[in-house]
Amino acid sequence: MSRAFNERGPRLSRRLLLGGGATLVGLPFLESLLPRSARAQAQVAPVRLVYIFLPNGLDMGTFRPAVSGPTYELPPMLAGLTPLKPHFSVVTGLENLNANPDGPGDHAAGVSGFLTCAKANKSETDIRLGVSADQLAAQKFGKLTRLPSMELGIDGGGGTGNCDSGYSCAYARNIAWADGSTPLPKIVEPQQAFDQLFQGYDPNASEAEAKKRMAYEKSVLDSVIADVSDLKPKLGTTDAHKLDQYLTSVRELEKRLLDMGSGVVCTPGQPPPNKDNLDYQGHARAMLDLIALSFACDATRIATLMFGNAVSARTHPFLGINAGHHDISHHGQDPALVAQLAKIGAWEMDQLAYLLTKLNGLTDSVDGKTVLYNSAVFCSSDISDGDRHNHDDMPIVLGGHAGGAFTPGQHIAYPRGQGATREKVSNLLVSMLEAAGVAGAQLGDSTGPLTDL
Amino acid sequence: MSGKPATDPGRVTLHRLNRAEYNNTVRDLLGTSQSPADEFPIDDRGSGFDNMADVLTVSPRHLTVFHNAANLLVTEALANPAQRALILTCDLATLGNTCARDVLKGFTYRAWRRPAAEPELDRLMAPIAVALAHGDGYERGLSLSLRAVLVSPHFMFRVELDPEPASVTPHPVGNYELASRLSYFLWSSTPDVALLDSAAAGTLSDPVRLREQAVRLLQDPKASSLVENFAGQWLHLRGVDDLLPDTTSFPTVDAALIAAMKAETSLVFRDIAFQGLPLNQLLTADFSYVNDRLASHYGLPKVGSSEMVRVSLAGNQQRGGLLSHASFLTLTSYPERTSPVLRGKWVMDELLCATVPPPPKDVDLSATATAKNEGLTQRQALEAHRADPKCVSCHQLMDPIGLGLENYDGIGAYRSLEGEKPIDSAGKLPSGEVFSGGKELASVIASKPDFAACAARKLYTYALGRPPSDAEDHMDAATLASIVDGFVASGYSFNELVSGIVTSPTFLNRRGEPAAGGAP
Repeated sequence: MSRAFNERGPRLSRRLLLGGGATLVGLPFLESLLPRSARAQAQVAPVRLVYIFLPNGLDMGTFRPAVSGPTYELPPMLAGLTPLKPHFSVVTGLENLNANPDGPGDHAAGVSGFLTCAKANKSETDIRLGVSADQLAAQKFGKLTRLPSMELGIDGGGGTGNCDSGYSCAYARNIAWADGSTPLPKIVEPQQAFDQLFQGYDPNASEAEAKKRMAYEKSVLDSVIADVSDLKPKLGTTDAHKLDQYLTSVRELEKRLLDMGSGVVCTPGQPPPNKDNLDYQGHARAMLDLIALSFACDATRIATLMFGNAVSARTHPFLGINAGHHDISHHGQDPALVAQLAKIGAWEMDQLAYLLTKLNGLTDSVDGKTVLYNSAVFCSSDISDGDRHNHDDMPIVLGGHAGGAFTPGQHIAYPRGQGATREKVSNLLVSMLEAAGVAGAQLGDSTGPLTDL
Repeated sequence: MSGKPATDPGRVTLHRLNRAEYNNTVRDLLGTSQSPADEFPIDDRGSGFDNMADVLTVSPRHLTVFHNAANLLVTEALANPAQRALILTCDLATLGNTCARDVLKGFTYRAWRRPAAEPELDRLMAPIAVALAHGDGYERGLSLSLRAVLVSPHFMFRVELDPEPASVTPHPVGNYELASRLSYFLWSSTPDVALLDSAAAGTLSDPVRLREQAVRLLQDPKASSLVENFAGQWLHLRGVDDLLPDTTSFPTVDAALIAAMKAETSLVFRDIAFQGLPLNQLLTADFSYVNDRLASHYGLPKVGSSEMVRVSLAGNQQRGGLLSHASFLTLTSYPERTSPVLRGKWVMDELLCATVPPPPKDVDLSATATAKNEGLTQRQALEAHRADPKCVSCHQLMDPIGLGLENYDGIGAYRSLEGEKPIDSAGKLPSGEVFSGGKELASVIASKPDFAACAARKLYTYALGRPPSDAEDHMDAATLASIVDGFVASGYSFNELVSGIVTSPTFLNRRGEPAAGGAP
């Protein structure tokens, strides 16, 4: 079935394993099979959604602009975003109160609540949370693209022992949740992400060969689906729910393998390098490139990227910082540590600038605007100040115009003084969903979209 | 809630094979030397272990990697003569359907860890018909069927069925299900044919047979998975590879030393577990494993090898037991210095199962960090820290343990001075025991009932794939207590601990789940 395999003999190469024995999609073949893609029928350009997670909070002293409104001056941490100032807003003063843990565990609860705005059930194994914003969007319009959504990260997760004060590692490592008990693991290997996006059929195969191959894939998956259907009535509720997730996942795989209507609309080019050949900066850039590529190809419209997991201990030697990030974030107002934290934050904002610049350089073929214009990019952290572990006053950069729904270029400072009525992160996430066409979404503690964005 | 009899044996959620289990399973099932699950998503941990059934979730990404792995594994297995012989037990080309069905019957028995029902075999024959209809042969068709076996939920999950899924009445797990519980506990892998046949005979749940099988599995080299996956996580050995001590503070540290650190503790655990030594010798062993690199780090005579060699430490006042192992001592240090607090907390968490909460918000955590700048020893700095009433309740538990280990620096080398000041490693635990130095401290901890109970609790959690419940009507508490009694009475025998767990009522039984979810 895989001619490359036969040429190479029985030893499995890593490349083959990742690619599932299939070669990359060739555009002409796809078009020949596709009388009309979902995208070609679209009248309005779709809004793409990106959610970027930064670990350990940010130095609010160098993040928060001095004044609110459109005339604000960029604070030091955001200097790298200067050329993009008309295309993003800084949002401060929003709270995500469900990220407050029961007792200790601010980082795990902050990660799990990042896009769910839901309270995590404090347990090592009894996982109960809520659906995340990106997945509400994926459930609504993910079927229009090859991948409903793409979950990316830099650190897959390592370490040992308990992840955070009685919270399972599932809470500490995942921001995308299909439902309250189903986290979606992230891909940290750029080559795997590329394959997941573009793995397809042999461009040299004839149509008859392609059809045969699909019939074979279908026969395999039909057998699996029959096993699932046969098993499910014999199971209790928790097991049956897990099996439902299995079935959903098989169906999604089936769609990708069999339904050519979800094909990509570009030639993806060369796969990215293996992460073992990339330093942290190069790895981050490769993941950001993949987001831009997936949007350019309309292979997905929803992406999440985690720069680290909860309590990330990453060192930043390229910034001259050799201590662990989380240790530094407990700065105790030590000016040297605060300065290091500010430096890490500024570097992270430079990476955001890299992505926004790339999206700004892509033209959306539907309406001729830039892809950045037709995107909403949410970038924030699990906590506000790493030393205080607070989840009010979250540091947020909101990139893109959301297809015209947002008016970027402002510092939107929500009231945070004593006695002020606080606005919620969940409502900002709901606003993004509204802009993308998910009307009336309910997310965690949300009460309705914000009107000032 | 009082007075309710403890009758709940618990239930284990549908257990997806984790990465280690997948790799071992396809190794034993197909004879492959590939480790495809290395490319799978990292399994999330709960209770310190990555084999907790509730945390082993599934997602579209998982199905993609299962599908890809099955595809490549089957292709490899049919192309490689030795692997092919494990699967193809008849002449497919001449016997056609008859042979294919036989092959699938034999393969599913091992892959699904139970005999497949006839309708299931009928379904698995369907892809063969599809291949024949497209003008391909049986070989091509069978490869599709074998892939279907490996993507089936019956392969990817350890399925345990309840006769009445909504009933909470306890019932014994089936013999095949028990075989899987046993082999995934002791081998992190699929049952071999001998174990499956014992299940087929219906005698596996007999305690005598079960003990026999447990002992047999423990004697098999595949039981080394307990070192990798149980000790690797309990003692945090999996984290040793990622250690990055600061080379300015510790110029002698390098990758070879780090590797030797991990190997030392792994090998000591292996010997204790599989050579019938008391498990509390983990803390008090008068032997260890070193190579030349580690020997010079410890100030021991060189062994003349870069391989790890067992050496006697009888009479050695500095080394012997986990608390003097550089693995533990480095894992619980900061990159540039020791942390008595981290060491004390680790011992309490992992060896005594006494959870220490993290510090409350708004406390000054810089005490020990600034100790060096101000010319204080760690002991003096922590004494100042304990003066804060918010800190003392936890630190009075952790600090004496950590300070008792101050003779070992941040990479586990022995020292008598901290800077220029002599180290005082004497102490007293809140429970009253006094000690002087790390070796006495280790003896104190090794003889504490809490250590035996904690070691048993860790292995029980790993064995069942779920943490023990503290619900009043749950059998876990009494079951564990009885296991600990047997373990201590046997003189801390690892075999006895394993036998106690696998013959316990919670290992042998399960219950269903009411339709509303959760226990009533």
